Amino acid sequence: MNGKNLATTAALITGMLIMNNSSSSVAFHRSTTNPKKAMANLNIGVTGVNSTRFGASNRFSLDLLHLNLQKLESLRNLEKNWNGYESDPIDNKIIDFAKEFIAKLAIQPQVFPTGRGTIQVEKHFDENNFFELELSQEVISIYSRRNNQENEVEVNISEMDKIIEELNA
Amino acid sequence: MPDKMLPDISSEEHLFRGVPRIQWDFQHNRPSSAIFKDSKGVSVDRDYKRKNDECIKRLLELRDFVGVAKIKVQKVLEINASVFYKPTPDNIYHSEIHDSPHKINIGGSKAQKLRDASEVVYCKF
Repeated sequence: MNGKNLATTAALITGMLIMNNSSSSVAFHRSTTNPKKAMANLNIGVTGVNSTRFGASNRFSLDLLHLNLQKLESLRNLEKNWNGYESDPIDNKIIDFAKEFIAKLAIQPQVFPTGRGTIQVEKHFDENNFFELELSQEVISIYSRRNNQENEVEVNISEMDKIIEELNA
Repeated sequence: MPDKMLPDISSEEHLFRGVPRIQWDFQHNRPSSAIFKDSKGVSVDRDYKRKNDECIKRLLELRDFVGVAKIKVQKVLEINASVFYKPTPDNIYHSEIHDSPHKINIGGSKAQKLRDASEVVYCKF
């Protein structure tokens, strides 16, 4: 599924499914479609809906995903010097890749453009538990700390699914 | 404005960097470490005996930054990053932070440590 289709479908699902963040209940509106099946077809955070990942089943948020997809889409409008320091625009391929990447995460991170034309995906749970990934056209640079164990590594983008599996674990 | 600045930046000096809205981490009310990732070197303004207000004012005159962060040169060196004074015709204070003397691109770990060692001296919110 390409980035555009993904964004459109995610936006549609956002209209159908509202996650209640104060409890793990899920409210469905205007559709008799089984959202779990819809999510499974999309391969978006299926486990997030029922999961106890990170000790909470209610952290998966389609609203946050939708906001992130919107922010990533807006990066297409960044022109040269968007940061005031002669930065280059962000390549569309990297934006598409980032959209695909975050859609597969169980917990929505924050996304930021960098001055070197890459996109940073980061989530800080606390000082000793976080991940920061830098997505480019060829590699994913990962800097993470889990339970005070620091890790910095670069992997090929073909390893994306493995990385996602690890982040969602 | 000084006529001629010393090419060596003192470890007691501070380096200032403007933060655009799209790189501001609203969840933690701080800049993202993404501000320290630039393939041409991270541009900063050295203070060269200027007060905070003067350094901030100059940056805000250039651009509608939502924040300004400063970091002491000594902290940059402790993180094993490098600082170079590189004045331009438009900016005699212009300097750059690199990963090391031989590598420009700053890695994820150093970028985050630089952010953590920085102090926000101006915030629009």
